Amino acid sequence: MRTGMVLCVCAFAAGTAQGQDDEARIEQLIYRPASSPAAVKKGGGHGAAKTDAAAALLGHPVRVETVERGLYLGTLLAADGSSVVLDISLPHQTLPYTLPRSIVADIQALDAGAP
Amino acid sequence: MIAFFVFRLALLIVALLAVRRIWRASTVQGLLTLLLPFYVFVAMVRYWSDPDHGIRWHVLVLTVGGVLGFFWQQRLIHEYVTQQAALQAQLLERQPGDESDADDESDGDAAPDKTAPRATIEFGPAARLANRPARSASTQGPVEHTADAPSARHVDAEPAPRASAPAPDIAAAARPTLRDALASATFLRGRFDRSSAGFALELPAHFHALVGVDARRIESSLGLAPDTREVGWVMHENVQPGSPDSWHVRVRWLDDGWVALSGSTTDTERLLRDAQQAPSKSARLAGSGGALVGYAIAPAFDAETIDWVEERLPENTTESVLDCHALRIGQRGVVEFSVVGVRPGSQVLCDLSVRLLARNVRFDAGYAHTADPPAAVRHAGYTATDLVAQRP
Repeated sequence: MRTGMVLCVCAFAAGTAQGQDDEARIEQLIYRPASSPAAVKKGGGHGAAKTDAAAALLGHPVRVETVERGLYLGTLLAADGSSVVLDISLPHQTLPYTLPRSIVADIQALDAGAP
Repeated sequence: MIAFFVFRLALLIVALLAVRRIWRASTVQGLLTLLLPFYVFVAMVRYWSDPDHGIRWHVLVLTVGGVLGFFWQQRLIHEYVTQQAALQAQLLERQPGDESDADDESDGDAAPDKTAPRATIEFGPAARLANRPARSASTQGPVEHTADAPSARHVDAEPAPRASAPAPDIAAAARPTLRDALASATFLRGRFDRSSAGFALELPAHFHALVGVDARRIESSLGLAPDTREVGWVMHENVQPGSPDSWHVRVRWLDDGWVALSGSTTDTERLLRDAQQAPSKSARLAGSGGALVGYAIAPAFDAETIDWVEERLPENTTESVLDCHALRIGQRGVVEFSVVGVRPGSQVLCDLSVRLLARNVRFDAGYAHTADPPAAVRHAGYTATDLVAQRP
């Protein structure tokens, strides 16, 4: 009985908390003052290792995932410490597309059958 | 309101159970707990170590529930007061002969927002307010101040001649001006009711809405074709309508029938590939058109809600834009929330906004989505995945 009562209260609080989290985050993003340009990121050794791993996929079809759950598919043309360049194939055109390296979370090779 | 009363009833039951436990230990203590305010805390301390008559957990639930109930009650009172003020204001301000539908007339549940700007609005180029074909390369978007917000990413396509604005004509001269359309619009708060479609939208605290009539009047002032599926706009109170950074959420009702959710693929890579390689594109959802570059935020399926952000390259432009979508699946159709043509870097704010609104949809009894369609409800002919991939 006691456990059930506490669980009911917690469930009610959790249901309203999720919507309130989104609302609070929206307010933060709208009202946060603009900051100065980001400084050079520390941990350059780790970044160099990631660039080396991406360099091995040059010319191959890859999927690029971003830190914000984004997804891009294409052929990897270039990858360095500042940017990643993809060649995105579409039905009527091919787009060279550049992504800032700072938002790239992962680069993975696609299957052979993928475009 | 009903939920509030059910919540209060539950707290009453918990309180009576606590009194009963104390009564079993001592009739006098039980009477004092029942009659004297806050004596329950004395009884809780008195029987703290008694497993048969302790009421610690009851008091905890009552305390937490009391605090929540207080703030909930305050919000209900505030909404009621603003609703009453809105009803009187609408009766005074509504002009005879205005184009309106049944839902717009019944928007007495939503209160007009007295804080919305009116006649002193400054506005930029008309094409920036809403997205349609033949937009210029400039984009507006939510002003999302983040430390790592990337600048607009350039797509290295061949530069194309910028689309020219349509020449003014006699019909344009007869249209209302944007300033007049905004000045006559009424911003609503609270509950945005669409009873004819079987749903209502609980507007978040810092958002207000324009009914379909006002939204179409604004679009008409911009020379845009009317959207018959659009039921309104939702905007954040901090956004100045018509400003260069103005953005709004388009609320659309896709009343095509029951849409299958089960069997929908959540393989985002496959969705993206299907959406990019489709020989033709459906026009069910609002969007910038052009080519789909990728997902700035990949589709997320959560019960009856789907949200995602597309990065698109509109035709005749060299800068990509974002289209943010959230869908709430009902029994007889889909409620669509879309922000179209915002600048890259705004995807998190944009996605949060449409997702929040989608989750705040409340379907009337008999209009919520079911796993199998009722016999009286027609099938839409497409699945939720088809909507995301924008298959024809």
